[in-house]
Amino acid sequence: MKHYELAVKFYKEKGPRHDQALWAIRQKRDKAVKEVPEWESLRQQASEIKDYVIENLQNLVDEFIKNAKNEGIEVVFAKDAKEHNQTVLQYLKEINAKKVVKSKSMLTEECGLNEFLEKEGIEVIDTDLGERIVQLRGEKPSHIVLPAIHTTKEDVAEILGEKNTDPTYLTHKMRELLRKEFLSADAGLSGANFLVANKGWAVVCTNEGNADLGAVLPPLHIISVGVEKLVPNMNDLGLFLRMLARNATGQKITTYTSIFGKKENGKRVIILVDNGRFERLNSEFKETLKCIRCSACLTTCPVFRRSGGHAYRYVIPGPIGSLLGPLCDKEEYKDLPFACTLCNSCEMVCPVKIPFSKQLVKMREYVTKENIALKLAEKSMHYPQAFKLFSTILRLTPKPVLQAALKEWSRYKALPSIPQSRFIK
Amino acid sequence: MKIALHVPCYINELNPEIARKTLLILRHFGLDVSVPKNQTCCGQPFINSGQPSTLPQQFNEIFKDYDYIVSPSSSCTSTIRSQELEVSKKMYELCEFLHDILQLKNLAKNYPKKIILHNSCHSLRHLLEGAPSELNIPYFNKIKKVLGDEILEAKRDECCGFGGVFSVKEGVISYVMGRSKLDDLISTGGDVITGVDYSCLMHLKGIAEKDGDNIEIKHISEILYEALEL
Amino acid sequence: MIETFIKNLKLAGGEILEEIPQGWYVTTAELGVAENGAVWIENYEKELFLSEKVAVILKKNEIYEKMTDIMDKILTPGVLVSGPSKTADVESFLVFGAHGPMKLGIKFA
Repeated sequence: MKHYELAVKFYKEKGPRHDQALWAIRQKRDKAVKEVPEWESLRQQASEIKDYVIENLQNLVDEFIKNAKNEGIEVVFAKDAKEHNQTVLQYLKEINAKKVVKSKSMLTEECGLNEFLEKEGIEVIDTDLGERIVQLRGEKPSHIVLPAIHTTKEDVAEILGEKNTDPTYLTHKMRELLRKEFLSADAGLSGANFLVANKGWAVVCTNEGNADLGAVLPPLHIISVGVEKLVPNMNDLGLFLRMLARNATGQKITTYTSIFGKKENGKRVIILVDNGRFERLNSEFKETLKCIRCSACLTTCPVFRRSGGHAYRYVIPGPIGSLLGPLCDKEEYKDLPFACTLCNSCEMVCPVKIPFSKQLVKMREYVTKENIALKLAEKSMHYPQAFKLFSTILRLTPKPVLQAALKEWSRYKALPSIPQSRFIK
Repeated sequence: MKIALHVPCYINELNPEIARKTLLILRHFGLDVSVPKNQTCCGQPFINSGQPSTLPQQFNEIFKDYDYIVSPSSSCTSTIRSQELEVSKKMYELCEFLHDILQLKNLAKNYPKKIILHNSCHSLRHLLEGAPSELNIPYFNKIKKVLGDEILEAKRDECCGFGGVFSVKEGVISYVMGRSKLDDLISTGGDVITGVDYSCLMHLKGIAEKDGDNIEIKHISEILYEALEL
Repeated sequence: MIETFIKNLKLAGGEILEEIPQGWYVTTAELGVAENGAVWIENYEKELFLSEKVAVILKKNEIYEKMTDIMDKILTPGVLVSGPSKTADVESFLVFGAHGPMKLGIKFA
């Protein structure tokens, strides 16, 4: 099913509540960014840093690898999802791991790591509470920062087999269940929000502390991260830390911002993943590599708020997903850049100023196969006479025929009445 | 100052009065306004459908000798402005032109009805005719300035759900967005909804008509035309 | 600046401790950030996450205004902590003690 059908289905069940919940977060975000008088100049600086990063990506990767190795971290470069998954498996096999605890990582979703490891007989426990909820429901996250925003407390109670639907009770119940998993896991997997090139450190931001438990308890910690998450230095990191949580949820900063170097009493591995990113550098969509996955474009998107994340089908939904999805599979996700009114709210909230509207319009062109009718229409519109002809046809067509031709419009809206004469005759 | 009136193609076909009234408003302020007869479409519907178009280049050829091109549509204006053409910097949406170039304000202060302004996305978030709630910049709204301080606005400055091709590809979501926009606008207690984009207004009008809402919807040029008693 | 720190610490769910109660895990922070109420802790130990209640000792003169003011003072890996562990994953209700501590208090040295 395409976005349109899934969106309608979702909206009927949960749309208004979902819209309200996300709009409330958008308002918290507005309040938090308005507390920072220099916010707009921070966006400009962040955008410039990310422009620098994508222009100097290979150098920064090299610098990071050198420094991380000096720190005592093993670093592996994986050119694609398959190589990434194989690398993770190899490290897990070395210690004969049977169970891993994982904290939120959109990259491992992109690589399909959970399914891959489960086929290899390794149990993967998602530990972010939202991700655990969707994992137990047999779903994927519907939002990259709020993975279970499409569910209700009743849904959570049901999946846990509980009668009590009190959110505090349910949260602490999950904490109790997951604490046991943390204490018995063989390895911890996580993503990273940033990599600091001149230090060789990985930075992970969470509210729950799950990434830290996964990093500190088992003897092996594997960080999977896309190469575009590099920042040159600590000052740049500081800037992004001022922005990330404010823009994502309206918090001033996440509860934990963990900077990982060498792991005490164990091994830490960073897998730097390309999976098409270097190739994208040479495309007209290179600006999508600036994304820091703050999720503000999802939360603000009026279409996303009403259609829910699953309607996008790609692991990353919303405006940024409508760019990344078709880059991953053009045919499968060709509807996504059209699941958009070009309202430009995404561009306004983007902390790194990705030119969303321009990119989405380009993406529409990228996914649109040659359409002879459109092409002819475009050619004919160069001639006022063709316009006149079109205009005459429009005026001669009976209203029921027009209504049938424009059935998506006519289902919910009256057609405008067409006046007899035009202004430019 | 040589001024050209841009007549958006959909306005020429579906509500030519908007073009006529825009012309009369500009002439009311003593401007030398021409209407190039060979103008067609700015290319927006094609570009937004994923079909490359050279219509903006043709637009440039037709309009490049004028000092300003004034359009009663912020989405057409924004289509041309986002291109790198000679005309890009010379094209203005009507209210933007009245505000920035003619520096007029409070033109609708004697309008007998309470006006509700629908800030369309192209006006607000593409042309920045006002401060979108997403940005941390001081509040301003050029259209409101041009009309008068009493103008009402919706609580959420979000999209009405029209989105051109979106309204025919995603009819239901387009409708529910329009519905919540209408509810928001109507709840301000005003009498007449206006805006600079007739496309949004046509969408809202279509919903209001089908759902039986008792609210007037008029393009900004119609409001100004009445307010200036032309 | 200290008032701002305290205000933001409380907004993040943290508290100010006059005395360290019994049974709390005690650690030391090197730096504090007023604009978000966070503290920088170099001593990255599992108890910081496993304990129910965490007390952090911080010198008032080590509090800086902005996040960007402390970046050049971070010399080793570690963790920046702002209040107790939290989540809003169950229907957007804020709940403390998601995986880590239910309480986090700052004791000024």
